[in-house]
Amino acid sequence: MDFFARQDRARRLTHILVIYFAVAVVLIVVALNLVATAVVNLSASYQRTVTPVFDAYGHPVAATAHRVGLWQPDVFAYVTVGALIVIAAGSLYKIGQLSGGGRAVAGMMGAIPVAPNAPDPAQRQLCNVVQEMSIASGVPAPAVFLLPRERGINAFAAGFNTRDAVICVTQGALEQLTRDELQGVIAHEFSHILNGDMNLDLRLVGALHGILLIGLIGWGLVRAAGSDNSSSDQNIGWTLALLAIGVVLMTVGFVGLFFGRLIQSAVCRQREFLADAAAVQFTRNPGGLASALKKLGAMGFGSRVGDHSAEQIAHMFFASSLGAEWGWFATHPPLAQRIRLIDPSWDGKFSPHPGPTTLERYGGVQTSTAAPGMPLSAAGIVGAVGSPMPRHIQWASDFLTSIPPVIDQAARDPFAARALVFALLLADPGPVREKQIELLARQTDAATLNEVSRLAGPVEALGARARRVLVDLALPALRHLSGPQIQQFTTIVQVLTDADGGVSLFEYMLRRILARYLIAPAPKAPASAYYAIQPLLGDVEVILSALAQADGKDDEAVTAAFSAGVACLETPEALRLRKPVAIPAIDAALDHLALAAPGVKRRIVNACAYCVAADGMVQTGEGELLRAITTGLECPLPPLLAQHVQFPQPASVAT
Amino acid sequence: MPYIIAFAIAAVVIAVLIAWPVSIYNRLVVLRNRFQNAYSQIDVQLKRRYDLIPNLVETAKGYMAHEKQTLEAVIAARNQAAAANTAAAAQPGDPNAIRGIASAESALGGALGRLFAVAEAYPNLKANEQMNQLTEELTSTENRVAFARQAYNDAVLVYNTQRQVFPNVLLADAFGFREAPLFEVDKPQEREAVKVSFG
Repeated sequence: MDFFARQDRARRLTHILVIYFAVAVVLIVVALNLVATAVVNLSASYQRTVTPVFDAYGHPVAATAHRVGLWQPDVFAYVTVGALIVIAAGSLYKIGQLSGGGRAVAGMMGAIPVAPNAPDPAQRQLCNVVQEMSIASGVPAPAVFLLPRERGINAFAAGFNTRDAVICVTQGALEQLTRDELQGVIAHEFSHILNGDMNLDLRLVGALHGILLIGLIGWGLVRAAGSDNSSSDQNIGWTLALLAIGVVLMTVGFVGLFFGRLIQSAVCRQREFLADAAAVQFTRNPGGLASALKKLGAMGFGSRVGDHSAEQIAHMFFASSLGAEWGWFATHPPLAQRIRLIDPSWDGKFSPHPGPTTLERYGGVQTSTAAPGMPLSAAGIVGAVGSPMPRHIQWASDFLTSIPPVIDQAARDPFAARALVFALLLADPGPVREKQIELLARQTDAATLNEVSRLAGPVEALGARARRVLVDLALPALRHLSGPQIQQFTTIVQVLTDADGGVSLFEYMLRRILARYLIAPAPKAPASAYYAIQPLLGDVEVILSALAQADGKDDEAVTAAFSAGVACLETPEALRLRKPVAIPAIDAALDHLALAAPGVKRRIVNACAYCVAADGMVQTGEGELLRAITTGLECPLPPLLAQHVQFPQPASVAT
Repeated sequence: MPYIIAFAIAAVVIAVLIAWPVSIYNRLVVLRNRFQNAYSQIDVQLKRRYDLIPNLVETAKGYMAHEKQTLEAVIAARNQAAAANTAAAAQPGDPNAIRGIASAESALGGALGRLFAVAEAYPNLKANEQMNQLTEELTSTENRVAFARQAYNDAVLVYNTQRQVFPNVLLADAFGFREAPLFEVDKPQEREAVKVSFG
């Protein structure tokens, strides 16, 4: 199952969720109706027996006002409409609350942001691990949050897509886990981010809140009745009535709870195995994740999360946040089963384990045994989407240790990260650069200018290939800018890129990344609009033409590359090579292609891969453009490592 | 069944009446989280500054033995500011906490300013490599503090504005959304004093 199949799977699960939700709503309405009918019938017969009504002659008459029977249209209408409104209001309230995406979930849980420049070494390490994983998988680093009051070991990822994703860990995880264990947990969470699980998770929270609300109202009424201390007879009557209604609503609410848990476990249990497997695949280090799970089983706090909001997002957590769970209702598979699947030699004992020694915790990266080399072929590129391999993580870790401390520190700090981006945009020494510096002096303060001049040298020394990664590296710090600061920052970026009169590929990519991840992180993922490739062929033509011409090859090579890409599309329509391709055209084409369904995207990425691999080499320009395209399609591509690629026979692509 | 239609209409009206304050509440919560989170950057930068100052004083001590009082004043102001910052970081929306850290920061700026003014009289200290480096780092941190404070104040401003516009203003107090304080260092001339360079 590759990235695109997993995305499809996540979408199918959403449909199952809708069905479960509808069944839960119907059953809740039916249950409420049964209760209401019973109450009406009982009170009618009570009135008949206790307070008989007499007519003018003193004969008792039947209380005709209280019709008795199972079918009572009025009662049915009131109860049904009332219940539907409560459920809809509950769901809409939660969906509205979470429209802020991952950050809203973090805020709801009372999480605090972890700054990449935090003084606490454990927090810094957490940011480093996340950073490594993000470089390895090709998604910009998610914002990192911490649950400061939770002693259990747990974590979750939340968001609508990679743009607004957050990763949140508990204080317990930060203190108890070694670097390897933490890496396993973070890799597990990354697999949720990469597989499109998070979007479904957020919808689930909204749906759950709706069907849990009736029970919550009942609980509220019972508590209100319990705290009522007045003693007059009339008030006791009221209190009893409140208590009765509360108990009834709570009982009916159990139906909601039952289905809520059923949905959570149906959606999640299988997925946790997949995420565990993915984490092991990413890191090629089963030891880290297995030992994190064992530690969690041995600890008193386990993975429990005390915050009362944890129930709603129980399905998002790394391990069960609710303590002991059983059977059908478990949101997570049993710990022992998860460990056995990763580590078959485990003896089944959770031996109490002391916290990590300082050496263990801050020791070097133990990135496992050498990963077997995967020849980078066109097919390899499609397979690599959304599936970083250990060698990518190794590369990311090596890259992070290779960058000079000056740049590393600058990328972590909001103030200096801006200067770093400005420094990346500086042209080679010459008149253009002088103009840029003059513009900078006019638009910023002296302190920023100082910082830019301090960073310009080291940035230049790093070379062109590192520039894109440095932008990704700076993003988390840039997210700490306020609205006006972002505006000032992007204005200067605009001015600097315009200084030479043209827009290079790097400048275009930078603007696009900033626009997507900083200026308007549009939270909601748009629904797929294209399920066939035909309406998109014009856009595919643009992309393939641009890729074929990215590195100024001769005409013959350009045509060969273009036809290699077209050939594996296997469409009856003929595609025409366009030249030259302007950057705005690429931009518009990417916006369209982003709306394609996963299966269609797979074919497009495949065509691009064959186009790039046509001459057996990945050139810098091609590589950068390919990353820009995959980012635009929300198909995160790990860094292309080998410069030489094999040229395989075009294989037909299952859609 | 006309009264069922009436009931349905009433229900919709009630639903709107519930949804409307809820959306206001949610929006204010998001904005409050945002400015509270913005304090974390101030916290990071201030802590860095508080770590630098003892080193600076330690270095200066060797050269200005006669200025014990000035040096002690700096350390005392630093300790006070560090405590005030801890309190503010725990409650970034509390006006008293923010006022506390703002005035403690002003006092620290003043004490540092006096230290640098006195240091002018010690040419050996001015030539000290480590002293220059520390001063440089302190100045750079000062810029970052100002930048982080601007980000915090921007977020507070957005929150306060949202709180005060109609109809939010009717509900903000009832929901417990208090006006958030801006973090301003009251005496800019004392802040500038830190910028003295030994170059």
